[in-house]
Amino acid sequence: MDGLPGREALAAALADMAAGQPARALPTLRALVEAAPEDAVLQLNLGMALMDAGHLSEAEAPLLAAAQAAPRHPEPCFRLARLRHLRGDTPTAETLYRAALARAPGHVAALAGLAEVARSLGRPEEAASLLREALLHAPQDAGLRLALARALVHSGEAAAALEELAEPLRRGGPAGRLGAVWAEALRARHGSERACALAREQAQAHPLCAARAAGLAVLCEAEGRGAAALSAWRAAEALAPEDPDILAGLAQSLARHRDHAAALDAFDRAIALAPDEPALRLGRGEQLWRLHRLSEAADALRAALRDFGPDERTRATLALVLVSQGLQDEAMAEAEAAGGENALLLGLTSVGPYHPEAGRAEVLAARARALHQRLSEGLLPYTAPPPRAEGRLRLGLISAHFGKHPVGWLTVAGIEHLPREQFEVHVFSLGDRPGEIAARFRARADAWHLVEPGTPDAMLLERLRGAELDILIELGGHGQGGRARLLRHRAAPVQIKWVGSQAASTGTPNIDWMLTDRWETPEGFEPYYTERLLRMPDGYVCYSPPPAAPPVAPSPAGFSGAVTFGCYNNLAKVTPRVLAAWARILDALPEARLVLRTHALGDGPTREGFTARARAAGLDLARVEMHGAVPHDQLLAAYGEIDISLDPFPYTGGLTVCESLWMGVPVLTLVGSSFAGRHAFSHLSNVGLADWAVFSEEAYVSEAIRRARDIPALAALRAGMRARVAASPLCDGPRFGAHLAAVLREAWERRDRPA
Amino acid sequence: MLASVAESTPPAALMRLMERGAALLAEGRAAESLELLQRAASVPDAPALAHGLLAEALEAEGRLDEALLAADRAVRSGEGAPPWLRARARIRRALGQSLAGLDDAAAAVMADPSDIESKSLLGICLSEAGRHDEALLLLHQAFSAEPGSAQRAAMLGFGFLRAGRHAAAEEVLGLAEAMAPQAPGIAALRAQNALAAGEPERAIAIAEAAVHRCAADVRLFSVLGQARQRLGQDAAALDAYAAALRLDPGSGYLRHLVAALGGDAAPARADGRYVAEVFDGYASRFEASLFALGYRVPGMMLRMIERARPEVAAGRAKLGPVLDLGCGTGLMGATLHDLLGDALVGVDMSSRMIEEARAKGVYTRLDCLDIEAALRAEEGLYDVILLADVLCYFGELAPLLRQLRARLAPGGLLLLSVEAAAPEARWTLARSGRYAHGEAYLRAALAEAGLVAREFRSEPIRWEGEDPVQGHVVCAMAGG
Repeated sequence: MDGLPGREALAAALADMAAGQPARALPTLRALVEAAPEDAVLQLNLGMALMDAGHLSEAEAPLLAAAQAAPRHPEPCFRLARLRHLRGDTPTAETLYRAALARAPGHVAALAGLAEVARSLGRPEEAASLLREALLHAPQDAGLRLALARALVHSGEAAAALEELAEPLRRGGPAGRLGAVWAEALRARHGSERACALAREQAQAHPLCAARAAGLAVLCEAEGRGAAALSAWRAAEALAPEDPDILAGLAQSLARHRDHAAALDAFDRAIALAPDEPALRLGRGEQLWRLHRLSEAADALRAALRDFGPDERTRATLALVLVSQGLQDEAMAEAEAAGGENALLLGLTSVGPYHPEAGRAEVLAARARALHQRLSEGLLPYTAPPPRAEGRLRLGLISAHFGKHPVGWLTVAGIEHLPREQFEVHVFSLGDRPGEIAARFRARADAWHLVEPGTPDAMLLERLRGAELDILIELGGHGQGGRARLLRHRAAPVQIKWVGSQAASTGTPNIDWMLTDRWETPEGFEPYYTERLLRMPDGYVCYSPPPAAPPVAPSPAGFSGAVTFGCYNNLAKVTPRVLAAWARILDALPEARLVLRTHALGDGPTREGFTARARAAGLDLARVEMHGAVPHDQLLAAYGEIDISLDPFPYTGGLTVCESLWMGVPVLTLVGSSFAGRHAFSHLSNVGLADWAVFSEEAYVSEAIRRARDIPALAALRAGMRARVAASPLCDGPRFGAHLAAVLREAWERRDRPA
Repeated sequence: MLASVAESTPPAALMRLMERGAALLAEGRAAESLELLQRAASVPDAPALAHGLLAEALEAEGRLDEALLAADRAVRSGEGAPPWLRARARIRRALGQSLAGLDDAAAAVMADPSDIESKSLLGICLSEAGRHDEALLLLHQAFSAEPGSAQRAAMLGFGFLRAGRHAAAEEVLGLAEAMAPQAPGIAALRAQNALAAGEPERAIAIAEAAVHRCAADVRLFSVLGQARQRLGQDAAALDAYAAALRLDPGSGYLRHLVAALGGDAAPARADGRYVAEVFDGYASRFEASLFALGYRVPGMMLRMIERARPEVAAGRAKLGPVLDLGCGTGLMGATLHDLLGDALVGVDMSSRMIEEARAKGVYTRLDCLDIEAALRAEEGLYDVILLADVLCYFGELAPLLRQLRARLAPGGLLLLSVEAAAPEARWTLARSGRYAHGEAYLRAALAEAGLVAREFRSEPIRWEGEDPVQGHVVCAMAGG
């Protein structure tokens, strides 16, 4: 711009903005503002360009400067109002919209903004009259007409809303928003089911109408028909590929179907069209996290927090990202900052149990009680189904993980062996998983209820209750895809928590029992749980070894003469104290090596950060190998590279322990106090290797050193390990099934008796 | 001409619906593609492509009736373009209309004789229809055109297998397996071929290696079970069938096999789905496999009828109405063809078998029904009632024989065959999943139903490998 005089440079910048390229205008505008900071027009345009480019956090200063320099001008007030509105500060936004209108009573966008404030504060009639006023000034504005229709729906005037929408539907408008409002109006007018049918008929009559396709998608989602919704979003996107609302709907639907790569792509496209939409930025961060692109995810979420201000869900997601990176302190701080129910849930399930302090049983128990209290408000009444005459109990299972997932590997054999003559099994599968494990669940199920992704809570509760279950086992917890929270309203006379984010008490009212064992929760652990403890005679899970697992490889120490330790757990479990313990072990054994293998180590910056922490903890990095994730069969084969698995703490290994043992590798564990802190102890005890469990960090270090020095003993243990595990209760499906039947019957019979 | 092309160019939105729909279909996401393709096909004067893609999506989703309608529209508006003829051929085959499928495949080849996909499909259809020479010619051409394609090699191998040329099949299937070692279907086919060649040990080795190498697959476990069973390794066979059943819990066929091996109590008669599935799967290669097995029953029954009715044998008279229960592909109808003078009614519960029988053009009526249901519905009387190799799906015979006697015209003949159980046994469910009957029991059951054996022959009714399968073939009449 050096060669251009200021006026021409400004003209070029304004042209960029008009062309929808605000980012291109920014350097020019910044330079011009620097040269003339008192110029209201320049400040205003810089603020607008920053907002349009999605840099909300930077936009406020130039807009305030513009407002000061031109106090009578409506535009700075309006822009500031919009900025506050986007950042969730509705009261200030309202004041500023009114200030803009005081300066220019016919300011259409300010009228629309004020209407939106009124609608969101439950004053739909006021919103409608503001929008009618705005339409007098801009009768062709389809966006205003949509907003009016929406306000009318909220005022209980769905028929009038549909009349308002007829014109935009005929002539076209912003398809995604139009479709959403149309769907809302149809549902308000005709009820959900009839609305869905009407939208289907309209699809035939108007096959190329993107708005109607989007509306159909919205209605399918409300009906709990997530697969049909995804297909409709796909159609809407094909018909209007540049519509940000449709791209957003498609992205969310793909995410619910666990197609995270495609979801990320759709979020990226939507953000390019609508950079100032907070939900899109959060969605993008979530997808990056699911794709294990952890550092990018953290950056994206932090940027969203900067631009839109503090947001509970964004912070909660950031906490999950940070814990996945092995940053337990930072994650805990972010979880606390998120506040509210999110803080309690994260503290109890996805973040707290990994943290050396927050993961102690007493701390978790306090959170569970707080959550229990919070969730006890507004419970829906429940009536148990009339007792059945016959002796079979109807058992429900609910989870998103009936497949190749720890829940699948650790429960399928037990479920398979539940006696058919005693239990009628109803599986509620949240989404569908392919594969052999899934087929085994299907084979045992007496009834299979597919719950499509995104099914609303109320609908799911109705389906669960409609099945008239005697007992319901929850296998997802408060983790990703889990619906444990919903069970506070109760869907069966007996509700039990089992595997699936089973790190601590669920803190959920009306979850009556925790399925456990005497190693996980010995006598005296009752106060740590809001549930009653239902102890299995052996371990609380039954492991199904993969049929295609490679044979146990010979001990690598037999060749090298020195022990190779390994840990194939995720980084969330590897705390600084774990690193320090490992450093002491390697220090004492100058020939020993350590192999780490997990998803997060495949992410460059995450790995760098982890490496720095490991170095700081005193680990000799020359003897540490770090690998990213590999496919499951290769992961199993990789146990051939190690002699001893070093279990992390306080969150110990679960399925990882079973797999290590199956592949011949013993696991040294430090027993903690939380449920997650004792997974490994339970599995080891169940196969007769309780002597590999220790109860202090000192003992962890000394025992690792002692075991590593006895290579012949390790080789002998390894040689017999698979046979030992195969013969143990850990893998004994029939035995487990009989025990499970007995404790479920016990829970049933004690249902009306207090603890 | 140019102008009309321009006018008929579909709008961009329609193009995107079809492009994205096709891309999803190619990624195996048929369910996701449906809304796009249904919309594309709903546009007035939608191009054949829209209907054709919709047909493929519906086919992939198992909605075959709707798929057939869409394929009809695609063929109509596409003026018989080969891709849509092929789609319709596949859908028709899946619906059990294999001859109509063959017609479509042939039309696709005629429309574009250079199209490899069409040739390949026609080859498969012909192979299933037992026209092996033509089939192999086409499958070989398809393979030669794309020698690097594991699928083409596998299909040629399939053709050789169907034609009973096991060494050649092994050669190309081995090649296909080397090209695509992770494809369980190819390994299963190769194991099936080894089994058909009488080498169950080799079949087991192939299947076991593939089980370790490939994803769990119902076909692999199924053939592994068959091979182990052939070697008398019943416990191991049961494991394999149970694994297959876990992967396909709805399969009555597998459920029956598991039951036959003692995984569950033997039912009093075979599960209806078992019979229908076995024969739907094997319909068009059924005859070839029976002849390859040295199946003797039709010839034995023909001679029994000729002995009972010398005037018919001499050509001076014809048979009255004939009821062929469990008619299968119509072997008995074809065998008796020259003797028929009245109706020939066939009954079978496999729709594919019925279609094969219909193609023979000798039956005056064909009913796709369970035998017991057919007998309950039947009101006519018959000069001859045939039960060739069908009582192996029944344990208890007496109730059925009573029903049969009621349908015999005065002087009418009842011809039946069973596999022989130990003489003192009543009936047993064999490892093969078939019932066998003891001689004394059969005689008693006949007598109890008021039937008298005119001829009762106990001799091999077919061979399995080197071993004869002993059976009883009976020609009976109403007693008294």
